[in-house]
Amino acid sequence: MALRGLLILMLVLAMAQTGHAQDLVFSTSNRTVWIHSNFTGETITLFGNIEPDLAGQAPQGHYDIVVVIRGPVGDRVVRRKARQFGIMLNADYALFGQLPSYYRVLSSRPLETILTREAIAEMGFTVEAQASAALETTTGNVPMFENELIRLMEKASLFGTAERGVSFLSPTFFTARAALPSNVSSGLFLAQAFVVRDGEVVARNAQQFIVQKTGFERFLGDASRNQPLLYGLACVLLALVTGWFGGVLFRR
Amino acid sequence: MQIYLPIAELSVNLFFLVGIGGAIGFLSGLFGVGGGFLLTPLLIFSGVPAPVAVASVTGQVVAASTSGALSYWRRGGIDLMLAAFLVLGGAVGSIVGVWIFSLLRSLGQLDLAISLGYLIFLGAIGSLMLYEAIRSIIRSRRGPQRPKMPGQHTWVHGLPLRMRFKKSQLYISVIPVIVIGFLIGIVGALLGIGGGFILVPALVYLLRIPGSVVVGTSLLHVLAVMAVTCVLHAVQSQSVDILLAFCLMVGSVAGAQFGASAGQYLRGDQLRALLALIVLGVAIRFGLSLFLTPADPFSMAAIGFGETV
Repeated sequence: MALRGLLILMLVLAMAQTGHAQDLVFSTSNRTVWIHSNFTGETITLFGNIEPDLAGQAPQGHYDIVVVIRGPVGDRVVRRKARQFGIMLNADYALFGQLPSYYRVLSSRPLETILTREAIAEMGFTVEAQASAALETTTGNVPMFENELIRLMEKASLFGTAERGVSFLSPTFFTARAALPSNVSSGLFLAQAFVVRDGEVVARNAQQFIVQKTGFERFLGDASRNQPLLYGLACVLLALVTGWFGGVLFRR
Repeated sequence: MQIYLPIAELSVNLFFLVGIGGAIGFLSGLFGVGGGFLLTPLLIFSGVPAPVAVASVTGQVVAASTSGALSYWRRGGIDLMLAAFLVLGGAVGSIVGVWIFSLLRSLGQLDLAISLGYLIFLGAIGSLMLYEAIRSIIRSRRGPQRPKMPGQHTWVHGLPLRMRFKKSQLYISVIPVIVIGFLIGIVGALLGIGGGFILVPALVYLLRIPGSVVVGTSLLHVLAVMAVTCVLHAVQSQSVDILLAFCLMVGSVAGAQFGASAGQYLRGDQLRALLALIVLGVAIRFGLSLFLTPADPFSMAAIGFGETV
């Protein structure tokens, strides 16, 4: 049994050898983040180690790490209020399709110092890149709405950039922490780590985790979508019983 | 203690929710109104998305009016026949209201409609109530005078399809009854309010319904129409948060009992003047949001179920 395991391991290692110049082990603290009744957000820790490649070439010199966390996508609209006919009306809007509901980019040093401008643009690391990739239609000024989307998403703690959010505990071992706010969407999250050396990505790895409602919260969320009629009737019944019970309880 | 609201998808302090439920319940017990007109804006101002606030408050209003309606029922203070026609109009009105609600939501003008609606309805009703209450306070200061009783006939009483409402001792047309129910159904579904504070004066001044049955009947109407609206919102916009509604219900059902006993120490016209001031205050708050330039003119919303831009 052990022999077979060793064989598989060797096979995997042999395949990895053909890949990057350096290897990367990467993982998250929680594979599943449960949203329970007193959920107020959670901090997720990501950690990894730059490994020697299979030629036995040990990591040398200075490495930088970029970690990107992306939540499930959805459509969002940004609206601008303006004075029309003397009252404040929603004047123009911008629609962002398939926008990550959560996005964090963390790096060991500011992105511009570790990668060229072209490389950053190509990888789409920045929040600005996320916004402009998602923009579908707008009736107003494009850069203005992109900046406002980023500002509002950052205000809601859904977007974020941490220029020194990745710290090295040893020359090869790094860790990063990202806060999931209480208003985080549930679904599948993808965390990616990139090892950068001399302005080039030399290794990468990805890790998924799930944010999921659990227990009663999950039951309610599912019921409201799958059985909306029953859900509504249940709410009315609950209200009737509560009202009746209150009347009986406090009857004088 | 924080509690996670699964539909609103955010966590709110449980004591805050039960607390505002209780405070609103106290006021609703004191004045005999549902309190939705205060609760919905409070929730919106405290960060609950407007569609969830409007839809969930309907559940709370059902609970609050159930205990009120039950106690009036025991005292025989409900005209079932009258309530049936009001509810008939109200149910149709709430279907129309929920439809307008999702239409406005997809047009992106729901906030505007809610603000305008509050400004117009609360402003008008508040001013009328204040005027009426102050007049009656002044009159009572001057000493006992014979009040003008609501007994005369108006043009409303000349309409066809007349029916006899035994409990109310009236013989009037059902058309204005259904129309009033219909209009309040629309307003209720759109603004997330029961509309009791509009319905009671409408029944008293337009239809001359006697005071002994007006409050109970209006509570029953609010109960039935809000129950229909709650189900419609659950189906149409899927934005009813049961947990949010339940926290509010518990608070308001308890608060209403204390409000009702506190109400016995205040005179009717003083109560009405107080209520009028609160109603006007909310109207002014909404009016300001319409006319003043907001601190942040930009807003962001996730596009939810069944919405388009």
